[in-house]
Amino acid sequence: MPREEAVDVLIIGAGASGAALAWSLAETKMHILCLEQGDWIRPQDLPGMGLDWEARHLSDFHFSPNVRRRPEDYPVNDSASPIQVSMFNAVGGSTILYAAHFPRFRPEDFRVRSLDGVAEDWPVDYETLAPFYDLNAEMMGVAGQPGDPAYPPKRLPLPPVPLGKLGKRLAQGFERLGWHWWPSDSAIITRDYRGRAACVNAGTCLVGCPQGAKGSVDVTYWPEALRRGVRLQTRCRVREITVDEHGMASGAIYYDAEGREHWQRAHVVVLACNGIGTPRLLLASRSKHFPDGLANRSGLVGKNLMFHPYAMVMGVFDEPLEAYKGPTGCCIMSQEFNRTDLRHGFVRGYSFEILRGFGPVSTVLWGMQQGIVPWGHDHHRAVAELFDRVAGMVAICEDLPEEHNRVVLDPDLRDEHGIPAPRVEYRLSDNSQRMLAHAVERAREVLEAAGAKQTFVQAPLPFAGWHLMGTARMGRDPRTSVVNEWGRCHDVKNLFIVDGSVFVTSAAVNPTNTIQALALYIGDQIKRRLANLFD
Amino acid sequence: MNEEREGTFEGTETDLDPLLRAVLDTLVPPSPDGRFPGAGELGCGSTVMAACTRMPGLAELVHRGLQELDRASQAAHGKHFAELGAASREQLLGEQSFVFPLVIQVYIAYYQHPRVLAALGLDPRPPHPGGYELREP
Repeated sequence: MPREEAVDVLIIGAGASGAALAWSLAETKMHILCLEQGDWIRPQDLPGMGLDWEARHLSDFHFSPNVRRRPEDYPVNDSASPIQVSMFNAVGGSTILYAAHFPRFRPEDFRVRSLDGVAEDWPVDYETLAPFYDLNAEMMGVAGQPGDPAYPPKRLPLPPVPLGKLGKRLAQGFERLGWHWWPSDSAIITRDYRGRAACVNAGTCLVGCPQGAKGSVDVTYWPEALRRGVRLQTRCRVREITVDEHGMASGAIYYDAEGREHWQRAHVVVLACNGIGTPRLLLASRSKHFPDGLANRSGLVGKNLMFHPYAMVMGVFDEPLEAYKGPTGCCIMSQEFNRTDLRHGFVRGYSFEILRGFGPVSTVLWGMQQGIVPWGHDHHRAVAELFDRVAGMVAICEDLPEEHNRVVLDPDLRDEHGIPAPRVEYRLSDNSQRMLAHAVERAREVLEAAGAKQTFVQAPLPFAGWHLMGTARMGRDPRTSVVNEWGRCHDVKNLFIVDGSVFVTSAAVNPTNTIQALALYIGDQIKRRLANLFD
Repeated sequence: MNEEREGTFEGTETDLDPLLRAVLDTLVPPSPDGRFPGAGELGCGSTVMAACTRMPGLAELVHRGLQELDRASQAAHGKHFAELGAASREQLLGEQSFVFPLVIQVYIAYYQHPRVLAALGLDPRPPHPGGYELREP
């Protein structure tokens, strides 16, 4: 097996966190190499350039790797979960497909145990991460409206995405009820910004942005990281992390695009493979030092998997809303119920994220699924009452960490390189089920207050396993955590994790901004401690 | 991109053209005001069957279903399905199990067609490049 010349830092995964960390460390001029199993996605290859863009959301740009089956996908056995895993493998990772809804965690989201007596507190706090949230806002190009009472002041370099007729209508619903709402923080540039062209409101966010206005890291962090000298190798799938005779990480074995094995040696290894891929790789990296998987002396690698259980509630309105225009998942959010109120019958809470409407194909398929679009003589009348008249929201429910929710290695299923697939074991807690039920009723209230004639519910949303958290969690105690408070594995002092695996709690908002702030913070800590990094 | 699988659909499109076209025009008929064409009239058949061949077993299911449909038409009305009136076609088609997976592919093909986009009031083009103007009311 070819033994590649050792690099200083080997990063595995070129998604949201890997890109931010690579960029952060680049100023040290260390030799940094990132291995990514996917490839670059060219703008002209994205579905939004074709008439069949909605169809491709159901096929080669579907959320689930099990449906897509692209060469760079690996199978995920999520049959034992009511929520199916969603991810994307490419330079940019899942930011290629995400909606770029970009809220921060709030200060209280880092102190769940202290406040509500459940889960754990994080070993870092909002104040520590605040400068890295601000830095991430500059790098990703975050659009938003200053002054949100739910947050301390924050850096927002660009004005918010337009609400449009749809946003104004739904805001009226919140206003009538006296509930919190605010224009969403979005990693979508609303003006030309740092060489990228502004959003053109095409509404194809969930199958990628050919305009380059959506903040996927292939257009934000990676160009600058590469200019600073980071090397990125695509179509390289890592099989395992190797360790030396002292139990320190020594590099990674990977398959290149032609299927040849290589051993890439490294002095520092960083995992950025998301909350499913990272535990999978750790569990597959067994040795005499780590018979239960690398860095797993706590037994917690893979455990405490948190999704965000989603409810989707859509309303049908009586007038056109220009619903197909604008960023799909970025409009308004509400934190009205994002707090514990025991009168509700559950702990913690949820946020609402307003969704814009569907394109033509999605409208008709959604209507068919709800039983309100027949084929035949009544078809066109039904579609006329629906197209451009559907809007609604998702409720993003905070998921609590539970050890039985976990990622393990599947005993039978393997990818095309023979690497064991991850198997997800997850059940919705009673707390989540009560929270979903509450969220559905409140969402209906908002939509009806905004004038919806009918509402339709899906809860939990099956393909909503976009947010993958908790499976290598952060903490000060090696018995109850996998990494320390600055992302270094307790058991392996030259191994770091920077993706959502390290999350202690999930909050009730999209995690990418916090994932990246943490990655930048961990990068900063590495740079400060270079002289004694392995102490 | 997903690789296209070899279709195992044995009938030629020419053979089934009038029947397939009639089925498509029954599933999505021309609109009463003439703005929307029928799906068969629009020529969605080839796109629909190409999509069916990419899904395991679907093309064969549709092929068998079409043959069964025409036999049912002959038995009930003494005519080919394509020769029936709209109401009779709807009634017979509603009894066929292949309709559900087929109609999904019909909707996907139909609602991406430029003529239909224009009838919906949209520009008959992909969303990119160009996007849309989103004015604040």
